[in-house]
Amino acid sequence: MTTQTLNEQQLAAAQRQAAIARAVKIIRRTIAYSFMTFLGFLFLFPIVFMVVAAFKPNERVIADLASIRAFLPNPSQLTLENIRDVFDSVRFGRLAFNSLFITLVTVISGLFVNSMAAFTLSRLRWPGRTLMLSIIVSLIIIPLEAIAVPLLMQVNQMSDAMNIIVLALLLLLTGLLWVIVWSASGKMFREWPVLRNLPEPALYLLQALVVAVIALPLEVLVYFMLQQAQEGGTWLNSYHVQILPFIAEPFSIFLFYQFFIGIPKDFDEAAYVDGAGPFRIYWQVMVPLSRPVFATVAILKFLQFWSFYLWPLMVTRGDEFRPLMVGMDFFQTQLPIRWGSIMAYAAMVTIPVLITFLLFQKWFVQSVSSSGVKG
Amino acid sequence: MHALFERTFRGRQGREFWTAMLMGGPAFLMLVLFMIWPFIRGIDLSTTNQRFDGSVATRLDPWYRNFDQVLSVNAIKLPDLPDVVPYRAPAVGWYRERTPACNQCQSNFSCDITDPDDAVCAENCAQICERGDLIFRWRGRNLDEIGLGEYSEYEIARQVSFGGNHYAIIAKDPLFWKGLLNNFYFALVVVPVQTGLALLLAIVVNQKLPYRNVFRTMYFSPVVTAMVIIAVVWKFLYNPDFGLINEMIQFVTFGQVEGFRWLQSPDMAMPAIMIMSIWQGVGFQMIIFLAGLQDIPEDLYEASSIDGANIWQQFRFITLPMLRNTMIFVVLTTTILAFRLFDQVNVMTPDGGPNESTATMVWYAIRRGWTQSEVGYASAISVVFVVIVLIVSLIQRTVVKSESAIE
Amino acid sequence: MKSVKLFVFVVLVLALAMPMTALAQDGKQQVTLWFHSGQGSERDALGELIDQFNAESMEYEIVPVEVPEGSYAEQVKAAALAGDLPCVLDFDGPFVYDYVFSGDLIPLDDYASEELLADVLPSIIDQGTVDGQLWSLGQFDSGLALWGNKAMLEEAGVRIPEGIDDTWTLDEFNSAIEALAGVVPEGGYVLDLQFQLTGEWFSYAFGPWVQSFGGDVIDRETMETAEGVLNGPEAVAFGEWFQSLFEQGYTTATPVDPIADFTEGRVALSYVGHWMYNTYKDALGDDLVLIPQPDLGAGAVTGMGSWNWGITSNCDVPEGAWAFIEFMMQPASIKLMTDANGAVPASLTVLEQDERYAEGGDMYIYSQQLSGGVALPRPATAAYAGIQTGMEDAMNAIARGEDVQASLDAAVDTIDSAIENLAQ
Repeated sequence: MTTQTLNEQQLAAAQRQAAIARAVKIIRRTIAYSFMTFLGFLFLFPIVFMVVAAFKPNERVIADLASIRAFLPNPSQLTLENIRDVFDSVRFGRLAFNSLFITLVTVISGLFVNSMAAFTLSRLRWPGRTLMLSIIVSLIIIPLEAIAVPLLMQVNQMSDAMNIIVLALLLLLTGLLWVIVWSASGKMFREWPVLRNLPEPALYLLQALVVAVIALPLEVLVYFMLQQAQEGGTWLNSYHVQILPFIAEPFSIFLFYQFFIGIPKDFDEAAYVDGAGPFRIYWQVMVPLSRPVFATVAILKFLQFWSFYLWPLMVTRGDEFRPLMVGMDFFQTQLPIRWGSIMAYAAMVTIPVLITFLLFQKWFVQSVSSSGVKG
Repeated sequence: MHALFERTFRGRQGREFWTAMLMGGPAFLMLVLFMIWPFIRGIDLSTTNQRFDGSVATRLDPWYRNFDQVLSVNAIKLPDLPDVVPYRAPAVGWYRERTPACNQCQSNFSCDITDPDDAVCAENCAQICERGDLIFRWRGRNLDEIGLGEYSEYEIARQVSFGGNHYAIIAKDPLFWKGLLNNFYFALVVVPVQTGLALLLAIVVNQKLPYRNVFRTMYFSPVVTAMVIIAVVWKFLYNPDFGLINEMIQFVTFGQVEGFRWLQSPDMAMPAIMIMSIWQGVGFQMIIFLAGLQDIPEDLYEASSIDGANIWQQFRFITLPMLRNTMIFVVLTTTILAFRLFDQVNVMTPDGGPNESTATMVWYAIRRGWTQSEVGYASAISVVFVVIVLIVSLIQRTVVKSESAIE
Repeated sequence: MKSVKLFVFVVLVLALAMPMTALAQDGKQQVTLWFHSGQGSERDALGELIDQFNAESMEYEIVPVEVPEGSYAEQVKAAALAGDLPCVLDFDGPFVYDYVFSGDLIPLDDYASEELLADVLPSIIDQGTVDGQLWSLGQFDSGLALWGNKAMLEEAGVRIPEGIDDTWTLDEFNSAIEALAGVVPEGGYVLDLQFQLTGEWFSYAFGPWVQSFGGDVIDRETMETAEGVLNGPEAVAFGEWFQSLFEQGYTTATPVDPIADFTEGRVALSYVGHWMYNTYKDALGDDLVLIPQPDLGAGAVTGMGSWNWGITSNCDVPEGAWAFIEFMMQPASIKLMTDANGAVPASLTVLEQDERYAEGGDMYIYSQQLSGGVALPRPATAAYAGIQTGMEDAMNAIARGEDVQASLDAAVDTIDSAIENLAQ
């Protein structure tokens, strides 16, 4: 009898404790969530405001500021007028294409060029290697803005010799890209269950197609360069002036280098014993092992070049080659100032990137965490 | 010599050398062409009076004249205050600034304080007007009058008074020094605050809570917005009369705080830029810290909680030491970024802000080199800027190294 | 494998051969043109004129490029450096000295016929003439005065001047502002000074006010310094008066949408040029009045000059460029433009026919100001960019409440160092 009561008491006490623990947990979570939501509001409100204002008639943008309507618009007042105005005022499609083209070519060729450089620094022994490494590390601190003006003077008057060097370089890169994409895609296609059974010539054709697509931007660049070189010794107002100077980048090389020296040498020794040359070791051993750092550098560089402003402003005129960021200037100088359109433009530039990020965010966080970008 | 040549360029090593040149060559060549060479040209240009408009540049005499202009600072004693400080500025010398209150008083009594014979003003407004700042009007061409002719190329950068004497720090180009100080101000605030906040956010979103990914995404979203675009939005938000931020401040404080003049006020313009920069950049550091946090083995925490360590102790003795490398990386990169401050300043305060309170070195170099087309002078600023950043990073690296030695 | 390699090789060769295709050109010769991104109606009118020209002309095709106004001058400089200037360049009046000085333009004397010039407003010819040669022509001159809301002015009991002869004095202007402060609604202000603008506005709009106080932006006798005129007692008096407008809350240095403020009746006076005429007229109708520049002590002064066209020395087809400018100077083209933007037509024929500028018209004041000696051309100096920056910085600093003398001293330093740079 007594034991039973004791048990019941114990049970009740245990239940009480569990209830308290649950309550504590709930309270803690509530606090945590409210705090996190509050922070979330601080981080999101400018973006939400921008998006909401993009869909409001011009005069409401300012009229609504003092009320909750700044974030929660009156549905009946929503309008696509601003978006239409953006398309009427600038060639948005052209600007967007320019931005995308410039950014993608810079990022993709940068990944390739910088990782190869990091590979030679971390894996190959050659005289001057340590010197080159320390030069690159110290170059990290030189911002573009510090050399923008001399660089502008330089790209303005490219001598023929300089043009030939750069063209040769581009052709070399294109060639290397062909070889890499050709063999990488060949290997991939032959391991892919769906494609494996295709006849050999079809596979080759497919490979050639992939090569053509991936190397195409570089070829387009060569095309434009040749065209401009014909007309005179300036690079101004072109795509390549916004791309070529920024492909090689010390910080990217540094990140790749850091990651590569962390990969055990056994891997490439094994491949070396199998008779692979350095180039094969690079793309068959190092590149597959380094996907996270490639992803991280790609994202970092994408964000950097996507938001590039000063340099495009200095080297381009008109909308033929201008990226989106400089296009914003049109709205700030066209009178009367239409805040709705400015917000619409800002939203139209921001939202696609934001959505892309949302789609890949989990993968991105993983990449950064395994890329060793932490010293 | 020949043997060295053989060893380097022939055989297995030779093959490695040529492969290295083939693979690394594009990057190295491009760095030389588009970074090192322009930088060297910048050094060369900095000794000329090169301009953008196509006029012929000549080497300066002496070659360091631009650098002299950028870097010359001096401290001098200003003349004593006159017995009666005038309200109207003399050709050179002391005068008293008229404050809004003083102007108000003048218009109330319709009198003129600048007129020493105006008895009405002297009687009614003198007390109010005497609260105006004392300003020393410094006109290079008139400095001979007060025996300071040798400093005619200088301008006042800052005034200090003690012991009844007035001193001035003078510089040939005060705006450069202002930019330098602003850069340090920005870095000294933003680097610690942003790093601390990033760590806090990382810890918050590293808790094992459902939907934490949603919050990670929220905090990161500003990072993917382009600075020049989002700065325009923030400029709108900061508007002192209509801006959303002031509206929210008023709402939260129940109207007790009116809000600030933000980009219009010399004191708040830089903080406004700092807040916006931290908002935009902190998400990225958060992700890096998050990566660092996830690398800390779980058992360390479990073991310590068995030993009875509380959360703070865990943070202090496990998290922080384990994050040391991450922390160094974040601080070093944020510092470099802080010194590069340009885009947001250029969008939000294109003229350098009230009293040049948001002018930075890069902004100044671009203004002189691009807007005013003084390429030579801008190059000199850039060279000095790079040297300063180099010194700062060397100091940081030395500190990091010496700390490692102690541990 | 071989065949595939061959395929890849062919792709490369094709890629490299592509530039050759770009060389082929079609019929018309292309003439590039830059224009600034100003207000909407002006842009539309220009687009229409270019379309017309392209449709009519058998030989030439105009290829327009829009350049944002904020960094227009820098863009021109960079393009000049790169030898990348367009054939036809649109630029703001005072820059003609700068561009002529730098050799960026060619004179128009050989192209322009006597007949054409005889119909052009004298102020436009003055503006485009440097060293006795004509370098630029514009379709219109600008008008600058105060736009007023008649209903509010009447409510405040403020006298509305009939013309330039009975314009407000400084005292009248001040008491008008004070009276109007009583009638503007909550959230409004009396006087809009367009402080949201950047760049040229400040020297164009407030330079005349400095002059009307007896100062100036540069010593017009020597053109060698601004010392003593822009920071002399008269200019300081202007600065203090100007600052008091902000201190008293009569105007704002941080307007968000001043145009809406005026059209929606929150602002009584709007200090802005002719380019707002259509917008304001649509909103206010008969309540819109134009008040001539007040006499702030040393006589009323207004700004003048506007954007105009020149042919660059970089142009391969100057004949084509001239064909376009000539087309633009036709009365019909000028009329199309000035109907759209409300500016003072540069063609005497058009001006005579335009009711808005005739006596009793909405903008009669402008033609009175331009012909009545009130208009003062902007200083003829290649250092005008320095005046622009100096005035912009100083006006903003004064509006923020900084010390007037110190702000103007700084502007003088900016202008003087610009002049010094030219001398080098």
